[in-house]
Amino acid sequence: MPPRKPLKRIEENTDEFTTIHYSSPKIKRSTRCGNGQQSLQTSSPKPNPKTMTNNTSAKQQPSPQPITRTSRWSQPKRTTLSSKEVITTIGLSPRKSEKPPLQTPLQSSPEPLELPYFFLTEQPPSPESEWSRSYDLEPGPTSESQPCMLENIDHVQSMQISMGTSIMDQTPHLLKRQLPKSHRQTRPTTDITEDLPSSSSRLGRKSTLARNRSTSLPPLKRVHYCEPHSPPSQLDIDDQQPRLQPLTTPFILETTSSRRDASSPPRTTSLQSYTHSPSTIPMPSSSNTHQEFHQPQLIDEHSTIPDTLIDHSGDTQQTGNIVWPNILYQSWTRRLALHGLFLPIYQPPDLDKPPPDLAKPPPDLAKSPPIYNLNDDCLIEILKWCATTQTLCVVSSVCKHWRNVALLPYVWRTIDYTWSKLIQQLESTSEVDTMRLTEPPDTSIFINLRTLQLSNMHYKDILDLIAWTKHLNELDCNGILSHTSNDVVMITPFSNLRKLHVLKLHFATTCELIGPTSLTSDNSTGNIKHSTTDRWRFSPNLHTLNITNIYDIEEFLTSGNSASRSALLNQQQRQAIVVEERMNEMMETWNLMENTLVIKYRVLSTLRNLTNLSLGKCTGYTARIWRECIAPCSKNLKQLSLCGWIGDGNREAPLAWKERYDMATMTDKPVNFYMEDVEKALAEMFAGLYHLQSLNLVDFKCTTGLAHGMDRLVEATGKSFLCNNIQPTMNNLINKNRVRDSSLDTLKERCAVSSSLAYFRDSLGCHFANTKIELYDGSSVVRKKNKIS
Amino acid sequence: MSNVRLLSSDNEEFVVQKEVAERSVLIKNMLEDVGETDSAIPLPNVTAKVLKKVIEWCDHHSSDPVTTDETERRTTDIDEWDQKFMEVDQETLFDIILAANYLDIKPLLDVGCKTVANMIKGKTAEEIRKIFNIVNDFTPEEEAQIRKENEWAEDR
Repeated sequence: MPPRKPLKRIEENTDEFTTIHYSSPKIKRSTRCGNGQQSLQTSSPKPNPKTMTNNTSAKQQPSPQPITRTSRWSQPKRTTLSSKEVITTIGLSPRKSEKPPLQTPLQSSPEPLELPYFFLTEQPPSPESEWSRSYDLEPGPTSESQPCMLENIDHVQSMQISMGTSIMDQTPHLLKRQLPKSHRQTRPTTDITEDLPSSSSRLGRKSTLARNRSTSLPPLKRVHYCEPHSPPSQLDIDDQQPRLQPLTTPFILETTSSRRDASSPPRTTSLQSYTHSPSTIPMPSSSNTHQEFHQPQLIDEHSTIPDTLIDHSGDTQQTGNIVWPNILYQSWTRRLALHGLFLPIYQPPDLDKPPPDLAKPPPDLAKSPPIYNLNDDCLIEILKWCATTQTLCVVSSVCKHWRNVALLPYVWRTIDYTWSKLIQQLESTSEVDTMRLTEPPDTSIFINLRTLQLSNMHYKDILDLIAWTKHLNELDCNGILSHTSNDVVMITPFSNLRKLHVLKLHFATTCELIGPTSLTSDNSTGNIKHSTTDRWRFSPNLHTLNITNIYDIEEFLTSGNSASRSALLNQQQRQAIVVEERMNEMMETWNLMENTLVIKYRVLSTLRNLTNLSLGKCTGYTARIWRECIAPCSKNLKQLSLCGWIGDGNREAPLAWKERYDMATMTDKPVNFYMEDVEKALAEMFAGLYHLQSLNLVDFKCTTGLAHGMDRLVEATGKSFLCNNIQPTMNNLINKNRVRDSSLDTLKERCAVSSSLAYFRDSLGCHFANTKIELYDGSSVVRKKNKIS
Repeated sequence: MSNVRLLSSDNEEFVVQKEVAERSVLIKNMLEDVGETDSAIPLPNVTAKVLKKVIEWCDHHSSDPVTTDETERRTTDIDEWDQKFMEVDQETLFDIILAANYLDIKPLLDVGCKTVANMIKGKTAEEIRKIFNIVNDFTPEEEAQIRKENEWAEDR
């Protein structure tokens, strides 16, 4: 059951970038002054092809359609779910409103590190249009108590300004502001084509945008936008009077974007009205002033372009300390306060009397406890470790500055979500006897989900979930619960995730892994296996595969038991014919068993790009598994974890054993002189791990195969290695099969460290409870060794 | 093994092994750009006190494998040594975080941020304010509004 209120927006146009051109007849601007144009443009040095490229085509559209924007709004990149239930997507996207979509020009780049490309054009207001009544500001259906941002932005003309805000406060590298050329005798090269009539650019007027005067509306929150020329103190000017003006200063804002995505407007959410107030305060007039953005230091050290704001303002008068990125921060308040030490401060040179409240930062910030030393970047980094909705909400109510940071969409892109709410509700009404959890109405909300981390979820629920999230790149399931009465699991369903790079499945209780044909293979094993194995394959891009805490039923069905063999051996001397029959019988059951096993694991053989492999229990593996399934996918392995090799000879095929036995009797050597076939296979596999960097063996017997294979590997590659025998601790014993939990290792003592090349030969027959072997090229091991000693 | 000289903002010089200094991506890139040089690298944003701490950390972690795996990084437990290392007053802690951010030492930044995050988690807003000495600059109305907005996420 989803929370009562939407957490954030849920993306509607999910799968493709949508370009929304919208024009609303309701939005008009008055331009007494003729045409003004505003253009806000952000470009990044290397535009990301995936992100929005906005059309500029709207430039010349006729006036009743003043706005053309393109918006794309990406899904949160990852959602981490834990606990038993399924999902909510924390998204940041415009809610579908019943109104014609005045979409917000928002866009988040899918990768935080990618540079978003971002472009926004605003139409010049037509002479006839009016600013006023332009905004039919009916709040959307949920506007009244939206928890989070981005509601109703669509009603607000000021989106571009809030975009500017977000650009500036997130990627304030370069801000360039220009007026139309006519005011400075040269034509701009940008796409501003209209001149501002001088009347429009006069200050001392107030224009009010977006104030709906309809009385039936719920109280509106306001966002005050301070026109760059207006003194901040005027931000509170009441917008009741419809003295409306077009925006007086068209400007272009160019930003080279930083590594964070600049696109999503952080706090426009509660934007419901917009006050545009080029102020009425008399300003010192200065024509053609150049103004500089004083960029605070720590914003971005890598910015190579000086942050300057150039204002060629023509006859526009300049004034004020403008801290406009801040302004929207207080979108929910009516007072403008200055926050955020690191936001750009716009400081015109010839300012007579700056408004006192903005001229200097709040005193508490100046002396300030140490926490105020942190810049926003670091605060965001911290918040990324508090990625639960509750914590973020608490954080957002600490102080204004934190609120501003905590409400950045970027922070919300990764969310750990627990279904505690549902559980609480269930607890409170414990008499529920029927519960229906249905599919979410629209599974497309997951379409942009790339990473999914689940913990303690039921296996069946996970299967449901992955059916909705086909585009996952990474699936990490920890502590998968299975039905107690039926602990059979398959990995086949995960092959439907065709874009998977990482698959980690850790089962909470030891489950039996069955292959795709186990249920149907009773009669005609041979035929089925070929058809089915071809049908399901994992994503070819898979590079990490961890499947832990499983077992194969086949390990108990084994017929290759050495004890029975020796019994057989004794018999052989007496009744050769009977023995022959029994041997055949044995080989038949063995082959049947081995076939099922091979079918089950054959899927691995197609994974040529695997670099990280963990297999939960390889006790049951036979020579064919090692050769046909594991070895083919292990060529590029960098990390390998194996668990549960007993090495007691049970996994040797009867036929192979017989051959070995015959050989031994021929050469008059003990049977054990010859390596078991399965050990040979193991050795071959290990010897082929040319790229191996780390090997983790849990509950693994150091058999001849392992020792031999490692010897050959070291010989062939010149690698040196370092072994850490980790003493079994309580933790370790509990998680005997938990190969994946390497993080726990740090807590354990390194009990024995050895880098002897003969280590494996020396420890032949030893049982490795949990051994980590790091392999190095050449000499680096020496340094490492010194360090440890 | 060659050494690198680092110059803190208060002009104190530190001689560090190159390998250690290169835990900082910033310095690593600088060294790559500059090549072999004898002159000290100025770090105008880091004071000697903090730089010393940072170097201590880098030294201890100089041979850690560089994990790029995002999920690997997201484990929230902190190494025991790091926990000890981070037992400093708040000012130093934040300075370390800032320095790690500036010097681009991701693992150190993570450790610092995790430490702070652990101070935040599970607390109420008031408790957080108290811990960090933050002034509550909301008006009562704003606070009520925020409380209303946050209702959905509340743990009740």
